[in-house]
Amino acid sequence: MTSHWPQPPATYALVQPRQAEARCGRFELAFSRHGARTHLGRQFVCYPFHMTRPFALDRAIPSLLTVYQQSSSGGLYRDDRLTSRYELGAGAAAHITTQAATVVHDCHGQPAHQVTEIVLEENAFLAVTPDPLVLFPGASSSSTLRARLAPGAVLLLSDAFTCHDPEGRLRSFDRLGSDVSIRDAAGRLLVRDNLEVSGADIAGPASPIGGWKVVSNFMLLGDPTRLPAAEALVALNDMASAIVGVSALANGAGFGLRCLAADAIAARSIGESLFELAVAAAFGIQPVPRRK
Amino acid sequence: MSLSATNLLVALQHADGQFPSGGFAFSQGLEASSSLADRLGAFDFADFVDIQIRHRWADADRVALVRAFRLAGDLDALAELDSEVEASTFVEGLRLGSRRNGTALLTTHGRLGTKGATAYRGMVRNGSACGHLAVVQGLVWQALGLDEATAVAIGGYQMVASLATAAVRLGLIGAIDAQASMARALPAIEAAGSRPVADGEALRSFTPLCEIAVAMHGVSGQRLFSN
Repeated sequence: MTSHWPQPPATYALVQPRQAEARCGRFELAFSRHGARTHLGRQFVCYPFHMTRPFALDRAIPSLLTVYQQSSSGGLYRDDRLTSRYELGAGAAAHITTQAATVVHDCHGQPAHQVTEIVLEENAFLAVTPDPLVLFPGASSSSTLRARLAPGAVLLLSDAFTCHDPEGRLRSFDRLGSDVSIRDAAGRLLVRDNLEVSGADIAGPASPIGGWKVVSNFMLLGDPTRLPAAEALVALNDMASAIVGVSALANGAGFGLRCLAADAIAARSIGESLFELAVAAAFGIQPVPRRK
Repeated sequence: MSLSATNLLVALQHADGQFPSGGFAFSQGLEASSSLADRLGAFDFADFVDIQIRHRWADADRVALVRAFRLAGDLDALAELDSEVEASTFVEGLRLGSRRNGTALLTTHGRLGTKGATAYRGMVRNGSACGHLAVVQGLVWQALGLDEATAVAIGGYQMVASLATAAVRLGLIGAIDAQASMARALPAIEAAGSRPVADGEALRSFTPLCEIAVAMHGVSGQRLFSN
């Protein structure tokens, strides 16, 4: 456990009261800008989360730090209560990603909960691009993400899932819920993307994802002068093994992208291309590839 | 749901496809999903309708309609709900379609003298309200004295009927097949409509394939419908 942040902020709380057997992991980082560089300041990381150190992978973009959010538990389990919190001070820049996909195991009717809080001050940049959730039979996951953006800030969010039965018996997951809300600095709701779907819904003949295997949602939010052109985003839709719908989000918040892919390779390619576009638009320089 | 003859007749009038609601210009992604089938995957009208009922209307449009209905003509509260619908509609084509459809319905009811319609139309015009279809439906059908369950039934029926009409106009199915599909969809509307709606319940939807179709439709050339 790394702890330089002893108390959770009073402004948020876990989704539900902790159960006796529930694991309550916290991954809380605060970044600030000093000169040309971003520094990691306050931090609190506890099981099952793990973090080595932030990496300055982009020599041409010294203000951009990269952090791999790692887990030492082997995935998400029933009744997990995991919270992440990212605070970026004015002009700070960070990329939070994972090393690999996260397996959600059979939760026996007790969903794993993940809550993410994001606060971006003026001109901050944050990309939160975890690898997909892999929903095993009986998996149940509920995630909530709340973000608040000050003027000039840019936020890239990605959220993806796929299903897998390790025994090859085509058993489906239980439920998946995701609730993302984006607000401006004054607290005005700009965008809310709220879904809940069951494995049976996905597996049935009238599936809202058709015959596609990997579902990805992206939001690229914030200052329009630091976002890619819509044409560049639409151009992502040139792969045979994935389809992408690009749309302007409500309230001039930015762009939303829905992506359905035939496999994880295609989904990852779309995600990586979008990250490159986002960084290039915000900093004027292409990022180096993130090693996984 | 037990209706008096008077309320049944009012419900029939407002559910009727002849009622000038402006919905004829919108296909809610049906045109795009069918015309882009080579890229998106096989299109089946009955499956499309089922997805729209269970994964969009049931937990998004219906919830907005019920919440609007319960606001009982409180126009400021309706405008706030309208903003929530705006923020919760991911794809621009569906968002704009819902606003245009709602505004058309509002205009008709303004001319018919339905209570609150003209005042809310003014709020839409001056930018203090969005005028989304489900919110307007809740406003005007409550003002007509219909009960909540009937309003929900009309909303569900109109959604399916407009899809069936669009499918016939696009030549995807014939008129008889359209009626057969609607008959199969009615139990799904009833089932979705029977689920209680909590006060302040959030709007939820999950129709990524349709949303991608609408987004791609927005950059395509020839088309019959706005979305």
